[in-house]
Amino acid sequence: MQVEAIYRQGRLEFLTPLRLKQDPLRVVVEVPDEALDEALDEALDEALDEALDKGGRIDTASASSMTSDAEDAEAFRQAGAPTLSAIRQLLGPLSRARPVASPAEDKAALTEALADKYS
Amino acid sequence: MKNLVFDVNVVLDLWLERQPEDRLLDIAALVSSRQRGDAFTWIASPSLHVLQSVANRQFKREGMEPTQAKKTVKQLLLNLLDNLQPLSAFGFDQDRTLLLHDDLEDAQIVKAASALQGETAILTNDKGYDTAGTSLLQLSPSEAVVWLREQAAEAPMAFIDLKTQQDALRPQLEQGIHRVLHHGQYILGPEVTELEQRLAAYTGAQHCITAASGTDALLISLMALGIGPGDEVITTPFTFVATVEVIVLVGATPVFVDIEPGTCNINAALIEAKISDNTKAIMPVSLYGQPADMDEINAIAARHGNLPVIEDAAQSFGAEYKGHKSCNLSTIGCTSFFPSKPLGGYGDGGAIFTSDDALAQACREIRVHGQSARYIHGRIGIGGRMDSLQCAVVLANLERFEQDIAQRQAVARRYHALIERKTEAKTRVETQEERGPDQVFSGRKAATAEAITLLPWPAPDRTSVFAQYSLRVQHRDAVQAKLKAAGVPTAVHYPMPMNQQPAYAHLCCPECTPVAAATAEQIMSLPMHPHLTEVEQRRIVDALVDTEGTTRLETDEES
Ligand SMILES: Cc1ncc(COP(=O)(O)O)c(C=O)c1O
Repeated sequence: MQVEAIYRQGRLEFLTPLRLKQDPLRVVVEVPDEALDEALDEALDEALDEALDKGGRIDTASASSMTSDAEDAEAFRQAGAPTLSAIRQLLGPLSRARPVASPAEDKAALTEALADKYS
Repeated sequence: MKNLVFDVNVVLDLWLERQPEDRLLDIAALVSSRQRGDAFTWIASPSLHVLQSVANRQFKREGMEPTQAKKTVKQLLLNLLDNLQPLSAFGFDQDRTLLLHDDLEDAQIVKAASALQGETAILTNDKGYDTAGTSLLQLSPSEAVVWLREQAAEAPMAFIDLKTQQDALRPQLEQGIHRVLHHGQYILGPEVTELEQRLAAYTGAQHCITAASGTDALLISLMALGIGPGDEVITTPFTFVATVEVIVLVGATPVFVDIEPGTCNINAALIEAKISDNTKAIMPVSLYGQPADMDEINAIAARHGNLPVIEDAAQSFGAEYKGHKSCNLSTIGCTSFFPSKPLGGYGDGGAIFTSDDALAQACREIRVHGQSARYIHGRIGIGGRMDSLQCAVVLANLERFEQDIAQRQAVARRYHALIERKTEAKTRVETQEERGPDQVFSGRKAATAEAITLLPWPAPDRTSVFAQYSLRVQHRDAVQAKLKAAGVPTAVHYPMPMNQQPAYAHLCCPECTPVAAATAEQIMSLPMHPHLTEVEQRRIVDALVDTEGTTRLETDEES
């Protein structure tokens, strides 16, 4: 698919927020010829691309300027979806919303469970 | 990488769905964050039975049949342990001070979490832990989501980060160390055999003989080759002292051959001129993690009566040369497991590799006082064994070794690209400033580019494991001071060639190896380890290239 992006100070910002399966992701960008100041050193660019490719993920701090904090937080949240659905599958019919319980209530529940066990 | 230790209440929130959907997703994302490389995630061992008891009770109270409830909880725990690693509660920690706490379980969690090396937070809803005297944080899930994304930008930077390695492998390290405590075969135990077999298979060499250090590995190799007084060994002056020291220790004479400026490895083209009737071996060093020109060196050795070639691969274990692994490129290869090496232990250790059966046997005997059978000493040897505990640590580190190498190479590539780009940009600005904005960039090299010279990327026929990331800088002292002020540690490998060292200077004049002499004045190493982040690297490169006034050339080429 084609997406519009704005280049600003060395970074690309997508105008439509995208959730990508892969990070980092290599993309091809069309730059209008008239926008070019000087021919870039090809070897240098390749080296940087390769570095970013092989270097695995782009650190969140540098990537954060590409997306807003809210988008980052949403992306992080969505990464939890497979784990949550795996737990729900294990729970089966027990999967249901329950009221909040404080740590103190959990400790009281433990005391009761131990009392049950040892009485 | 940061550590997150989950408390019971948060895990129960997830299992019992006691939070709104968004919060549940956040907790689930935190639970699975190790898989994505965002954090090391843990559950303290004392929490496991609590989770089991409370969840069990909850499900039974909701009418679930007890055996079914137990089964479900077991599955939930297994799922949890697929994501979180159990954190040990050591017996020696359960002492008087721990028992004085009101809540033993909480105190156990704090104690267990304190063992971790990196920044660590307990994930908790009520922050009721007594963390006094520790550097532990207490964060709610929503705070933890933000905390994980924050870079510790101004934190002191490590030159080599062994802390993250320890956190990454803590369960394997503990298991390996406890295995040795359990079987009690501290010397030449099963870990020694296992490590030797695994490393021989890894390199492709027929034999691996571990030794007490990289230095002992080199010493044993020279002894096994029968090198002694009157013999000469050709080597590089631009190395760690151990390479040269062992030659002198066996009574032989090091003969220094200058290095190539690009790799800082011995210049193979200069070796032949130094071969004499007394030459008994050639000892190239695969410096900074990159193999020397082993084919050329082996060919020279073959032309001169099959001289043995010992590769000092202390820094290059894991590197490749024409499809073969370093340590398996010549008669003998020796490596070191010094903690900061690409494959390290937590103490001294080393290994010898060879595919020559007789040499391997000789090395094994020399390692144990020249003993061929119990109390039969057919040769002179040393006490040069690597102990079982160190082998257990190296075995644990071996689990991440391939990943570590890939990350080291990625870090090096990023340095290369960032420095080239930055010096290029700065050169352009400086040139324009000097000539005025309307003058055309002529390609004349300006100050920055000349003040920093990268070592060329390894040739396509070999790889480097980047034990160091070194480059040349003019005015090194000033650059190091500036980087230090910016919180960036640096090192020099090495400030003085061996033929200038007081103990070895009589062996060869410094002018005889001019490239080594010049390199020693300019070489500088930047922080290098597999966990260096792009953000840290940008910080390093910014500080390096912006050392105006200190890196500018004093003379103008064109004037
Ligand atoms: C090139 C070289 N040779 C030999 C050694 C000696 O190894 P070790 O410190 O394990 O004795 C080292 C490591 O420090 C080294 O870098």
